[in-house]
Amino acid sequence: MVKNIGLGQYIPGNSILHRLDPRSKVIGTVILVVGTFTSAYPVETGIFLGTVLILGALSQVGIRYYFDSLKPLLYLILITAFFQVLLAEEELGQRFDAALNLGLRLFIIIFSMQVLMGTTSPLSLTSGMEKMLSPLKRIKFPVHELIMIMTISLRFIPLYIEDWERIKKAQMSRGINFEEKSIIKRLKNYISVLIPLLRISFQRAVDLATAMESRCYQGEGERSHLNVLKFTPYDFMYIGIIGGVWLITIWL
Amino acid sequence: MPIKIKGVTHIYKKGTPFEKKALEDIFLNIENGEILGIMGKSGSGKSTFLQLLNGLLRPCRGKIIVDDYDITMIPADEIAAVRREVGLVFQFPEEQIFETDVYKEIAFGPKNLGIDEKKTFERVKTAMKLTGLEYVKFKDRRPNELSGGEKRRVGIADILALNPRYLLLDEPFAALDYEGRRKIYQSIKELNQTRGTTTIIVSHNLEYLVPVCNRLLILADGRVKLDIKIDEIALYIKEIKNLGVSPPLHHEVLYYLKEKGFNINVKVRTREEAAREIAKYLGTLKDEVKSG
Ligand SMILES: Nc1ncnc2c1ncn2[C@@H]1O[C@H](COP(=O)(O)OP(=O)(O)OP(=O)(O)O)[C@@H](O)[C@H]1O
Ligand SMILES: [Mg+2]
Repeated sequence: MVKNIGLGQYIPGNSILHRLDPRSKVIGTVILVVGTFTSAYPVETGIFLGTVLILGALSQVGIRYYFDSLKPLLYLILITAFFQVLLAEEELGQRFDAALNLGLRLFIIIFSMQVLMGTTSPLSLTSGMEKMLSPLKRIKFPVHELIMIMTISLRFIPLYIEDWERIKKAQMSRGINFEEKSIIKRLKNYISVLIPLLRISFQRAVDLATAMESRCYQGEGERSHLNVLKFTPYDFMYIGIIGGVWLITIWL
Repeated sequence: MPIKIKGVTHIYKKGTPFEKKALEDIFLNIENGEILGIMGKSGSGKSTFLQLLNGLLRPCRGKIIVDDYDITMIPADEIAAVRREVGLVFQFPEEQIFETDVYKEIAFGPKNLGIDEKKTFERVKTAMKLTGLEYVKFKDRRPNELSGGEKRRVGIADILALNPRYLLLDEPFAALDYEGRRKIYQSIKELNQTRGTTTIIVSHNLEYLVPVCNRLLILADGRVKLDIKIDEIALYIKEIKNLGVSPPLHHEVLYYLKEKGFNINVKVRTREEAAREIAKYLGTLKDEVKSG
């Protein structure tokens, strides 16, 4: 069983952030990431930290979500910081400072992406991206196809995880032991999961292709959308506030 | 030895926003040699229940005692032994097939347990016979080229080759035709008679359970809502319907006859038995008409 919530999983909800247009959330996140990178330590970075923490609270997806999905990344941050302390050439006090500096930035950047992913469903995220990238269509860039591939992959990943778990369980009840001590044997046992999984995946891909074709899907065409994305005053406020924070840090 | 379930509760993804209580406070004894049918709406916790019994899932609370051992206390690296005793056939077991021919596929389990070539051969043969797969005809066939019902039976034979003492089947009849179902009924009955295998079958259709089971359990919202003998169905038509399960037609007919005041024996299992009871009743009616 997959015990933790997956990294960057969408948590359905109805907070202010959930209701924003995906485009403004993407723009906001980009500003936060760029701003954090270019901010001066510690005051400016601190301002960004405060901003993302407030956003985290506004997202109403629960502290546990951030904690659980950040856990694997916390190791990364800690290791990076550890090497910074160990290998940098400055004095010890300064080294700690530098480590904290780096760790903090990484934390803010990851956290802001978490806010985005946690409050935006994959579907609205991709349709927002498509809208934002649509100017590229003028230079014949296959935006629609690219986004379709992204959407399908995002849609199918949870299914594969489910298939994986289910087949693994089915093989476990046939007495296959995935906790085997010898690594070679363990890998060999995983073949019994991989083969059925591949078969199911191919079958699913074929089914999907048939289904799309029977609905006359043709890639980019005169396609309309059920939910038309629309900026609301809140979106302008959101971008305005985050942009404002950025401007303040630049001015500082 | 019976299976004893004492106060079992299972919660998926405990402590996350996706937390979901699948089973709550289940108390149950399953006697040896019993064939137990489990029904319930989608999401009522049937599959969860089966997976708890063979140690694939661990309950959040409660004890599950199989052969005098509390399997909830068995450490993870020894739990495989429990799975051998309590064989679980998943819904669509044909999905798990991965070998290149039927013999190898069924032999995989016993071989993996370290059983020698000769005994494995015996086991594969028995498992194929039990599932109605003729050995000579099927042993070299490629699983891909079998029909859906045949694949299903290979999937079941995979588990039978482990010689389990308890057999758990999750929707074994889904998407099978009458013939396919009949073959599986036969295997279950034969196993039960020759080896005394205790069997639990989950199905969405009560009609499918009636020919094999001798006890019926209905789950709803993770709790046991009804626990009766199979020949008592006609006595509980109202309760069964209230739980969102549609009862077999012949039981319903008997129920309404009885309700109309007909003095008829409603404790039956199959359609044939129901027909006999009705015929018997009509017979007494004729006698009454004659004498009256
Ligand atoms: N891996 C899981 N993670 C979270 N929730 C789960 C998981 N598996 C099952 N559930 C939930 O637990 C409940 C019981 O599921 P279960 O699979 O036991 O139902 P079921 O009675 O077998 O249903 P069906 O008839 O559809 O097979 C359902 O509400 C389901 O959504
Ligand atoms: Mg189920």
